[in-house]
Amino acid sequence: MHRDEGPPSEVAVTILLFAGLRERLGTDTVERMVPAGTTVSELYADLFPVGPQGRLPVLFAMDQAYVSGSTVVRAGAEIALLPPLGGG
Amino acid sequence: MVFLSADPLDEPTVRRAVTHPGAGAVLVFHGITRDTFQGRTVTRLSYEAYPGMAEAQMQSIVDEAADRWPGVRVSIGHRLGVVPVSEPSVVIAVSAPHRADCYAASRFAIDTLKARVPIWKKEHYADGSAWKANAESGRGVDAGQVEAP
Repeated sequence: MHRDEGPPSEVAVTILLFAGLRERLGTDTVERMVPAGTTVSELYADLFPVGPQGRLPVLFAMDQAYVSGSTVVRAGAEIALLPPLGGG
Repeated sequence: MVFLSADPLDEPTVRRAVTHPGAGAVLVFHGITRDTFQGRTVTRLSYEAYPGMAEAQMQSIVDEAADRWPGVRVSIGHRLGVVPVSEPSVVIAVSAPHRADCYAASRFAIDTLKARVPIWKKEHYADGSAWKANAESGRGVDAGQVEAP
């Protein structure tokens, strides 16, 4: 058995931004290496530090399915930060 | 049938997708862009979506309606990009054997779409613009569980 490599200490994720969040960062896609065990809400906090008005409540999706903020990101996952929805 | 479209929505296309000989009732809901919001004049609106997930969520509404009301069929088209005032941004057709289920499923479909289909609306005014959130946004979307509102 190879025991040279333990569990990866960092994982690659793709973060998709929409609407006002996209406008605030000036991009719709962010590629990141993050520590293993990072949650999707931690990703959000990292990308959008709290300003004077607090942080916009968002919905989270991983690989195009809704997840809670406490969900740990999977290696290679597509994470989406979804600001309040306005369809219809 | 569910779809996103950069072009104006064709109501007969959406309606024909649910019409069949067993349907005793058909309702078509049009969500229309308005020219005012809280007293401000809206010059135009624009919509964007999370492609893939938006269609998947729309399809889940179609499937849930069919499970909940026997014989009900639902079809949804949502427009993206700039939508001039007074034009439909969403068209939802529902057919059912009888009218009571048809009304209930139509209401369910638009309410649920507003709660969980990842689409965003920007209102443009003479002096600026703003992203407008639905009151229903995120309702029934909690802890990884997505349920009907």
